Amino acid sequence: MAFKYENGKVIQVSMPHITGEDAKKMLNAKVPKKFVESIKKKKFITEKAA
Amino acid sequence: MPYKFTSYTSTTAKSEKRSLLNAIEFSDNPLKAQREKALLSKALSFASNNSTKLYSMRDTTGKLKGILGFVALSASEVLIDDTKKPVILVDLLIVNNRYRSKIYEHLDNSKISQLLLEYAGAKFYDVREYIGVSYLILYPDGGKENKLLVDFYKTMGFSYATNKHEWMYIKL
Repeated sequence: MAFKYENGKVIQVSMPHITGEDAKKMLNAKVPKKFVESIKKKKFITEKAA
Repeated sequence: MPYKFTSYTSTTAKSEKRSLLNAIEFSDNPLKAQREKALLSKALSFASNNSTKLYSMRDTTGKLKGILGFVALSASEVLIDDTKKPVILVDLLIVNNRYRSKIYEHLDNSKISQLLLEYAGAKFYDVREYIGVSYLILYPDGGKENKLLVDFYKTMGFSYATNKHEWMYIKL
């Protein structure tokens, strides 16, 4: 489920079906090192809402 | 850490819906503000029935007041050719208008949106400890017209899934 806002309403967007060259590109995509490193060096703290 | 996140159960998302809707400032543009509020409201409704998991972010140093932003995540799947791939979907990512587009030195020299997205990435890895997931995906609000937002996701490593310029993904 994802949302988009159209004509004054929030509607759900169907999940994509990726085919052909796009599919090949997505399957062979590289993991972005910078993003991953940035996540790994942070210690995120999560509390539960009371 | 100079910031922390709060997770909401379905019960707290339901009981705090009104206060959470009023906890952040929306865009100065009334039409955009209406759209943002509607999207947050929908995310809260979905969080109330466990269809998405909602998190808010705060500054623990007290320099920035109130809720800095929200991120909502759910499990889904995409079809790549004939193969179903499990994904984590960023249902919503919204930053308090007061704090948008600014880099905060005391918050790891980061923008709030960057920290919210990295938090989503960290949650992705938490989930992967227990079940298989392949991609973090999202549908940018406003689509390709929202160039600023799309450019931000691109700098974080996201790519468009197709030339329709709708869904964006990052392989993790």
